[in-house]
This record gives sequence, C-alpha cells and structure tokens, in this order.
Amino acid sequence: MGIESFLSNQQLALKNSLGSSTDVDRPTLMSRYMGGHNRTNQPYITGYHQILVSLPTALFGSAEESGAVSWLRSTCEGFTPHSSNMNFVDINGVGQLGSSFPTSRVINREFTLTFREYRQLPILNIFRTWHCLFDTHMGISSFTASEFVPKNYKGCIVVGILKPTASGSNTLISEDDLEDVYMYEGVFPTICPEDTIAAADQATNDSIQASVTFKFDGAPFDKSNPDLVQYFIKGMSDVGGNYNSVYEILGTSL
Amino acid sequence: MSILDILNNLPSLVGNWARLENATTSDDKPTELTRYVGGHNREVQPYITGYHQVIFFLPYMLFTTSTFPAEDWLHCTCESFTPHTYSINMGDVPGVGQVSTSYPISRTTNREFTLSFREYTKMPILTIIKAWHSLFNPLFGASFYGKGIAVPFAYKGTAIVYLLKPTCDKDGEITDDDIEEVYVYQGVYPITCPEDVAAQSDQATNESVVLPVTFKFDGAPADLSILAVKSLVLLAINKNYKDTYKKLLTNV
Repeated sequence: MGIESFLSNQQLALKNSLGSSTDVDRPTLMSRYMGGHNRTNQPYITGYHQILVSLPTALFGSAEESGAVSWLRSTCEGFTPHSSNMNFVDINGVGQLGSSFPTSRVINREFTLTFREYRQLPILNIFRTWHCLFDTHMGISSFTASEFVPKNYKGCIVVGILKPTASGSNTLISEDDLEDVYMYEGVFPTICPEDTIAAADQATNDSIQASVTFKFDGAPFDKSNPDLVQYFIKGMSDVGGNYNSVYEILGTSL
Repeated sequence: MSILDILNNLPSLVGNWARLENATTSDDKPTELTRYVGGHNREVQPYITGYHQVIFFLPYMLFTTSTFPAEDWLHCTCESFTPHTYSINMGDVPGVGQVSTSYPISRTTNREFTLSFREYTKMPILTIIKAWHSLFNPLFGASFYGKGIAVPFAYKGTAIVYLLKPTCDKDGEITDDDIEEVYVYQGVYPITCPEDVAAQSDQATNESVVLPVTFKFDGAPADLSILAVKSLVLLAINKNYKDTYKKLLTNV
C-alpha cells in the first residue's frame, strides 16, 4: 500500500462513513433532534467487539495455541485502543503571536484487552506462558540464541468493532456489521495479570476480570484497508464466529 | 605481495572482516529508508544490554594461597560494566588560506574499565579489593614483597568480560551463539579501593550498596576479532544457568 493509496483509502473510508448529502438520515440541523419512529439511522453503540488472535507457536505449541486462542477470543470483555497524537512545533512572532506546525505523528503503541477469568485459570496461564520467553529463575530466555527472534515470541491480534447485528447467512458476521477493525502486529503482553487474578480476600468473593496491556509495532491497519475487512470477516467465519452456535449449548437439555 | 594480500594476513583485520561478514549475512534487516523492523514475523532481534558475565583470574601471590573464593564472589556480584575507550589521534596539516587536512597518526586505548559489584554481609568485595591493594603496606608506605617477587606476575590479574544474549542452550550452558562480544583484559589492577562507598553510613537512610571499581589494564583487550578468543573464553566460563535451580529447589 503506497502513500497515495493510504490517503485515498482513508478518503474512501471517510466518504463511506459520511454517506451522501441527501439520502442519509442525520440529526436535524440546529435542534440536533434524532427522535421519532420513522428513522433510518442509529447512534453508534459500543461493546460488541470480537477479536482474532494469532499466538507465537514457538512459545505455545500448535496444540496449546488453538486452545489458548479460543479462550482469549471467548473471554475478551473489554478493549481500549491505542492513541494517536500529533506533535507540533510552535513558532513565536512579535508580541506573543504564535503559530503551530505539525512535525510528526506518534502512536503510543499500546492497547488493552480485558478478559474474564475462569476456573483452572486459563487466562493467567496463557500470559504466564507468553512471558516464559524469559525464565524468571535463570534471568535469561528459555529460547536458544537462534530462536530468540520476534517470529518466535510476538503475535498478531485483530479487533473488530461491531454493530449488535449479524447480517451474514446463518448469523455469521458480515461486512455490514463491521464499524471498524484494527490489526495489531508484533504484539507482546507487557503485564502478566498475576496481581489481579491471584489476589484473595475472604471478606469479598468476586468474579475477576484481568486487564492486559499489549505493546505492538508500527501502527495498526484499520477499516480503510479493504483487505483487512475481508481478512476479519473470513477469520471470524473460519473460527466458527456464528452467533447461532449459542443454541448448541442451550439445547443440550432439550 | 599486494597490499590486499598483506591486509588479508593481518590476524585482527581478518577477524574483523569475518565478524562483519557474519553480522551482515542475515536477510532480515530494518527496512531501507523507514528503518522499520516491527511486526511479529521477524527473524532479527535488536541487541540487548545487561546480560554480561565476568570471569576473574586473580594474581597468584595475593589470592590463590587463600581458601577464600574471591574469583567466585567477583563473578557472582558484578552488576555492571563500563568498557575502555578507543580513539584515533589525528595530525592536522594546514595549507594555504586555512585549507587543512587530517591524518590518523596513532590509536589510543585509555586502558581503564569499570565494574560495579553488589556488596554483601561480611563485605567480601571490599575485602577482596583491600587485599589486592595490600601490595603496598599503607602503614610504612612500601611493599611487603621482597624485591624478587614484586613483579606483575605476583599482583596483576586477568579479567574476561562477556557481553551475552539473554539466552543459553537447552542444557543451560553458554555457547558461542550466545556471545555478542568478549573483552580479555590482561595486566589488570584495581585503581580504586571503594572504601568511601562501602563504609559510608548514615542512620537516616538504609540502603544496599553497589561498589564501582575502576581497573587499569595493559595494552589493548583481546576481543572476538581474534579468532582463537572465542574457544578460549568458552573454556574459561564453565558455568551453567541451570545451577540456579539447585538452590531454588532445596526446600521442595
């Protein structure tokens, strides 16, 4: 993807997001009123995200990876994305006149996912395994020198921000359901949520959510990249991302 | 014989060329122009500092008659390393109208390196350096050595500093793949005795203490550009990361 297509993809995403000036139902000018039943637009609703995870097989092994990926996908209850900021240089003129010029764009290269923990502590053990890149007793890596490369310890996580709908056939997620999507590459968890998950106090009994912050490399791809949209839709289909499957469990007693 | 033939037969230059060749054979490099090296599907890794090891060979006359394991204490407590410096001296030749040129005329090694050691109870590190400095008796100002044995063999040592990857082989041993660089310092003698740092005390603060010790050495250190050094230093280290489990598991 070149410089021109990067910008043109963003412009296309913007155009699709805005819709045409005549046939899109927007809040009324001046009053910003959006009520009434005869509406064809809808406020954006948060909380319907899904994730795809690719773990480093050298750390997890292929058998363990599939189980770990399923647990992460099934228990992820919250997502806080990265931040993107513009740096400016200020040029002062006479009498405190000032002007600012953008000099660079900084991505903080961190995002956070929150997972619900279950018995036998699968989430804690997944992140312990990932952090086993270093042996905490020896202080050095569990890998040999030739194995100690990002290919063997970094992963990839794709986060889809969805509508509360499933428009594909048989309740599969389709492109229409996707509000935005982020592909984070070179992912590694910065914390192992030992302090959250293993904390105990007999005065209170709670279910636990563990927040895990991940570092990633570069900048994430987003919905402006059409290939990523298709990648996510196909990925969700491949992993059986079908809302109907909930009935398979519900129906076991029938 | 051509100049290239002569250069090819200089041991240090051949060694440096070999290292350079090895360093540049990897296909995976930061991308040209962007210098970006991120993403999960990478087979190259930035150099990471802080995984050094130090092996001392202390002077025979001062230490080896003692049962005190001084070399092991220095090895086990060394927490940081600051190497020597190299610089090229230039001779400037001025021309007419301030036009000038520079020519390298010599290469200077500052012949100093610094190691920092964590001090423990009974002050083993301070005691080791004090013992090393006892070459001179500070009470009457002269050496207690007889003139026949007051020679470097009796009071100078050797220090090998390994800069390593955070890795080892599956058996816990350091292999040549784990070594980033090695310095073999010979004719080593400590300049400072860290009395002022180790014995300093203030009841208002309670701290653990790290003692910096600067050492002089002779000549220039041997490094991996000398091809025989790697096998030599691998023999010298003879220690195993997995030994840590022997202590950890004593209560299990």
